[in-house]
Amino acid sequence: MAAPESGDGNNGAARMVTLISSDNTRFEVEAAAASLSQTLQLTILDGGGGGGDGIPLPNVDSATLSKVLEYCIKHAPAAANGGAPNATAVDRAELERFDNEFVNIDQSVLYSLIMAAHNLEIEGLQSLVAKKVADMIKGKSPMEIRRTLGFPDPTPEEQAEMNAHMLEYGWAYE
Amino acid sequence: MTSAPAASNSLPAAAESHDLISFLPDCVLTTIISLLPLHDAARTTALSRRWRRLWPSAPLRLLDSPAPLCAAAISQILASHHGNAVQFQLILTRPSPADLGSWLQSLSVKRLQELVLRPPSDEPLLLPPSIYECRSLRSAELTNCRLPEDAAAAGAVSFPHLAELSLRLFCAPSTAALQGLLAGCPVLTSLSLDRVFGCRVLRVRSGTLHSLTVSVSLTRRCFPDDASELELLVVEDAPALERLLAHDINWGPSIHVERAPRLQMLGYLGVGIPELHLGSTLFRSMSAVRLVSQFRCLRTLALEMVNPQVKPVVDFLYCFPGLETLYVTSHMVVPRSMTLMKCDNMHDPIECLNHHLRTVVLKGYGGQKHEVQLAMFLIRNARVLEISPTATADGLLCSSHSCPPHYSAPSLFAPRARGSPPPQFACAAKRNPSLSLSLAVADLAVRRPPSAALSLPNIMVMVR
Repeated sequence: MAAPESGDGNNGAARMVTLISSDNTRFEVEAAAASLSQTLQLTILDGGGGGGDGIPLPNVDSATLSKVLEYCIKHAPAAANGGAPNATAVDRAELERFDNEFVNIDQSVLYSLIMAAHNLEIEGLQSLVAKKVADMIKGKSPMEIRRTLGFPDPTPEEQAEMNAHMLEYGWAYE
Repeated sequence: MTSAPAASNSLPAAAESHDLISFLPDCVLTTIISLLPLHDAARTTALSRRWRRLWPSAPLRLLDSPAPLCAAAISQILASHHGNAVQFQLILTRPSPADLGSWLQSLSVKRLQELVLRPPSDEPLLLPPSIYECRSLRSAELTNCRLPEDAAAAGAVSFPHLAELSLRLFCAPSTAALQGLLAGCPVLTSLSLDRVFGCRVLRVRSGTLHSLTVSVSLTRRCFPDDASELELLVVEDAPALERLLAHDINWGPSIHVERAPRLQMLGYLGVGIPELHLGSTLFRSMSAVRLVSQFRCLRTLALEMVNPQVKPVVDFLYCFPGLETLYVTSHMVVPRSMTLMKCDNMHDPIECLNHHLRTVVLKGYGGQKHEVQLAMFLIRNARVLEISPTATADGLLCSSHSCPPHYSAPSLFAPRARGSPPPQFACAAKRNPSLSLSLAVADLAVRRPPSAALSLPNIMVMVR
């Protein structure tokens, strides 16, 4: 897993790269896992991130990056199999279990993850976190959604607008 | 050194408010909204002024099921939405011609990709001419619909991106109209014709078509206006065609395959096909009239027979020298009048029996005399048939209650409920004493890709 402050990372087996979070923590990780990020993949293909260099990620803090890498490491083997067409049902079930648990997190962490997944272009993680938010919205009234997402209570003016809108889109509330 | 991503993932500290989601950019929120069912997505527009404009710019999936939608709602959505239309599906709603006309017009502007029209009620829905404006369509299912008179016949139809077309309970004003529709689909890869009326003879010419499926009504009948059902399907030239599938063929159509050099999968062929021309080969009601060994590419064949017998099966095997997998489905009804057709004088050596036929599936096997004879024949003569001890694989269900995992070969083909196996089966038992029987649920139509079926070397017997 993420090993802060590690030095040269090429010990024969898998190629390692170093990622540096905004708060200057170094994460050494297999290139295959980091390459789940479309953004990083290009740099890594160019030979970047190895040795003492490291790829700085000024917009991702260490807590978020550690979480992101946890996802990448878990999903890298399946991704290497080209979407894992020959993965066993057990493998798939295990990944699904991991995913479900992975997004069972505080909303602030979830949104940080969404931004990181978006910026790093990690497709699987983007869908996973987007789906999590969609599930939080599903089946709720606008007021319930506002509460779930932590919106402040509507002003009277906002409330009036909401009511008018709900009338206009009556079919959506049947 | 590469410095990565632009925007920050560190959200401003939740100072005053807790609605951190509002710090996410529009494109991320739009992605989230596009994952929601229609009604939920629409409700997000009530959340705030910012959210009001998000859903209308998200990719639109307008489906009237499982939650029904009234016509006014559909019109409202189409009027307010300015994103691309991914999917439009009417299953529960039967629109007025005027409504459907304007909806399709609006959807054509939104570059609709996937259309499903399956209006309820018996009366076929007349499609508005604006259907022809939906040129961005990639897939279309038109069920219980009727093609408008004019454009199709006039050759003005153009669906340059349409890859999948499914016509079910579909009425064409004329043969020319249906031919015109197909001619306007230059990249069509999959065509399904399920109860098509108003066109007796359909000629298919397509350089891109991979899969062609045809089926007819259970009983011969006419649609309104005496539009009769498809009687003859001619595959004139289909250089890419790999699968020609027939379902529920009870009284037709006749099928003529003139040129399909890459045909790999063919079936179900049954007595309901009055005339079957395969190149120079001709079958009438599944009886061989003229046999020519062609179609070397054909790997999988499915036959549907009343009381399957050796002779007609062997005739088919002769036609397809490269056959690897054979499905034979027995009908429940066995007319007593049928005489046993012996196969003593086998014309020429049958290439697929000697070299290629590895898998046989006998579906609906009831242990009838002829079925046993057919099974015996195949075991004796199919020299490369791989009888493997296990036949469990994805897509195959082993039914434990009907059969223990290891069944001996003799009892496999013996009539059910009878004690002793016919002695002739000693050879099969010797060849592989641990032969097991799988009760397989196999449906030619749902096996994808075809290679999945080819890779299962076995005899599978499905007892009815």
